[in-house]
Amino acid sequence: MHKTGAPFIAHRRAPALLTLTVLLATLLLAACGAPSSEPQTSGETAGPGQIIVIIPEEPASLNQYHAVAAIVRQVADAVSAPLAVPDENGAFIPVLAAELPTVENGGVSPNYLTVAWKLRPGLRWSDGEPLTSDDIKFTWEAVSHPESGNVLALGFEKIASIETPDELTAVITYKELNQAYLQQFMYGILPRHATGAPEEMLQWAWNRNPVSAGPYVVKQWNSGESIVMERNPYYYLEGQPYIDRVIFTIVPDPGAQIAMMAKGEAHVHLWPGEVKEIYDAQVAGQAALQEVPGQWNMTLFFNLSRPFDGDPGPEPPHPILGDLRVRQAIAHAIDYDLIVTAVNPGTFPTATPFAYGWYKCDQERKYPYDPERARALLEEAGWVEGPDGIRVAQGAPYAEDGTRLRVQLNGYTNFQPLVKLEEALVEMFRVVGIEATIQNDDFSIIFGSYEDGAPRQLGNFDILVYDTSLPIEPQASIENTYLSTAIPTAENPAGNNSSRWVNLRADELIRAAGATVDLEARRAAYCELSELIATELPRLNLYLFTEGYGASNRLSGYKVNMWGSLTWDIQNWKLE
Amino acid sequence: MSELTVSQALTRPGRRTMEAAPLRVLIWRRFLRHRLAVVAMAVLGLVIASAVFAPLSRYTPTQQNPTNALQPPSPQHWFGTDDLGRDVFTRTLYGGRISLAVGLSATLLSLLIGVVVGMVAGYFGGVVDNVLMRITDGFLTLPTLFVLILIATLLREIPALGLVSGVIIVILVIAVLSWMWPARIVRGEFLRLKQRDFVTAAESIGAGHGRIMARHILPNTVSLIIVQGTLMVAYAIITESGLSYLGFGVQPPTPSWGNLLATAQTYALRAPWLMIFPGLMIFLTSMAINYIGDGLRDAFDPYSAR
Repeated sequence: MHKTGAPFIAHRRAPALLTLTVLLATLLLAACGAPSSEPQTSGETAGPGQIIVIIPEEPASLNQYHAVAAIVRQVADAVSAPLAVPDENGAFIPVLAAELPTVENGGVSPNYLTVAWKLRPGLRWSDGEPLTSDDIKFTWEAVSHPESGNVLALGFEKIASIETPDELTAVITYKELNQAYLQQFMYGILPRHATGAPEEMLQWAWNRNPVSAGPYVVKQWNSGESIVMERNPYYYLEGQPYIDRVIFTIVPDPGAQIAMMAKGEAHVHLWPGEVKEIYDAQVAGQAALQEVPGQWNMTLFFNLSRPFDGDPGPEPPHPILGDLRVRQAIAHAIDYDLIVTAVNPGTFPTATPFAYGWYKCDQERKYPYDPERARALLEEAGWVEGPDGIRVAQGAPYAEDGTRLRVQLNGYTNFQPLVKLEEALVEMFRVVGIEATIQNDDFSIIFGSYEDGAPRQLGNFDILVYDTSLPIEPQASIENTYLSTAIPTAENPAGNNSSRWVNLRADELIRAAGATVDLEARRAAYCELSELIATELPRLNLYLFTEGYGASNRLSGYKVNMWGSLTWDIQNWKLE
Repeated sequence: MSELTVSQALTRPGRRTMEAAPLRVLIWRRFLRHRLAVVAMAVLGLVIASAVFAPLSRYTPTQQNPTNALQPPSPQHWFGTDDLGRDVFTRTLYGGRISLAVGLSATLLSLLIGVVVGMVAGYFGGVVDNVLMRITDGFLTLPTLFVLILIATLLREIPALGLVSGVIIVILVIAVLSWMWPARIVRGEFLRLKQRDFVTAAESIGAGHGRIMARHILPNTVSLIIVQGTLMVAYAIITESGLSYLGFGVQPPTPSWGNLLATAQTYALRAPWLMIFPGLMIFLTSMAINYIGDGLRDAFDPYSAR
């Protein structure tokens, strides 16, 4: 599944404008003769010590701090140098750091406001220059610069200062508690000597040819065709990476991707978009889909506020969805088993946003599939059956009598599993007397900004349908999604409470979870929030997509990591 | 040899046997001699009839059975089933309603705008030509994707568009983005033909601009316009599905040949029937219209051997 740097919104493909920008940049670079004059690698086949990785689209940059498009991290982790990353179980492990700072080892002060990172001794960048604690400090300076173009919410603004008492130690002092301190430098350290001014970060030459502390360095970038990487001679792990050369080949056509895997011409296949049985049959014993339940949680977002009233706030209530009984009826109308077995097979049912990680909650579905109950609730809510089977208002609390029970499902285009789900929902809703229409828009419209008039931000929708995820440290995302103060308005245009849900108990729970570092206490707060969400239905969680990629049978040493990218452990990959 | 109008051609010496019949009957007779065109007419008639009588199918186009998804063609489902177990035969028939409406209407509208602009520009020349052609060039240089995203964004301000208004928007968008090609072709022809003797002759007997354009020059450009039109029908049908990617017009679950094809891409290897049948319908329709155009051109052409 596609992932995004900004972890809580589905970003399955780069927005069209971004794609165009990439195209223009590509043309410009081509015109300037930017690609190396070395021979092109199209048609190049795998040799000893060399693997081909299929990517469906080209990253615009390898600087993860600019990564709106999910593809960037998938490639960039091969050249990135984080201090620590989450492993496949969600536990952080040190990479460039000698150890994880904790209260026990003295790396973290008892009030959690000071964190001291110790680097491994003898680290070098790929150009041979030493990697020091000053590079950690520079990363903070660069990323937190208001004009750096950073899009990742990593809490850099909470840092008051970074001291570097010696070349190996960086002592970070926080202005306020940052529960996510371990993921602070998860997207890599930037070299002060080989980048540029923070305010010019978007234009750094480094972005496409990074001086790396990761396992690989970019050898050649053939725009529109491939990115060729070779092993970083200064990588900190002795003898690693095991594979000398990795070629990321850009192949947009799914049929061509499968054919390459089936012929053994490629070794790794990012985002195959196919269920396992079918994928494995198609690649004819050459490879297999390696997958685990992933982060992407397919969700219906109900708008509790009246759309198109010129007011992005929570009042007045939505004429149809403002009534909890209608939302409950919708929940009862959905055949959840059919969706995960037949509509989108290979997905895992879930009833909560807190479906994985250390904060996982065992949430039961409050309103299971029961069309009879759905009909009864709609009757009770003042929606009576009309002549064509679709209900009309007769005494409904927020709708004028005679209003048709008609809602629009808003998704984004060009993602077939989402369209299939919507089409199935239209039929399920019709059975209980709800007319649903589908309006899917380009990704850039749905996920546009408040200033651009995105319907999601202005509250001009009935039900949004898309998949979201929670990061390993979810507090910032939860605050911006469920707090009543996170409703997007002109004053708070980046708020993500698009359902316009106002619940004082939820606010209390979220603030309580944000005020402690006790994981058990936080989890308890999140699970009570999960219960509230499942009961009040500002949103309805449906299922998790699997996460994974196609891997050649000749490849070993990899671990699929729902918290990481395809290349998070590329230094461990081996080719027979 | 100078060009002749159809009526002049049909009444010149040597064709006296035709004098008795009215022009449209003559054209019709000539058309019937073009065998392929007649067959094409029958095929197009069948395609249109299949769309009109789609409700006679025993399934509805949105009736789902997800547990019976992606079944190959069988006696129960002649064209197989799609990814939600819907009957592809029924969806293809219903899809024809949208696609034919969009393809034919958008083409007609585009030709109407293009022919009028091209006629006026080519006939009057000078400043009028310059202004109209610069406008045409302006439309040709519009960055289509940006314009479409802009329109889609503006449309988002409207609460809910019904299917009919959605289809009308698609027709308008396709016509607005494609009238420039017929305009340039017609203008070129008018520039060429207005120098001919028959135009001078018409002017000398006091014919007005409108009459000269419509009755004397335009009939001589009909063959080119028809060829352009036949190409545009298939273009419009395919463009409609491209537009739905941007959120215009025909949204699922309403089928159109274009969006049936777009969905089929995902299953190209596993369920090729999803692609074959709507593809075949687009192919048949375009070919039929093409041959009908061919027949009409010959029927209108006074020098045709038929």
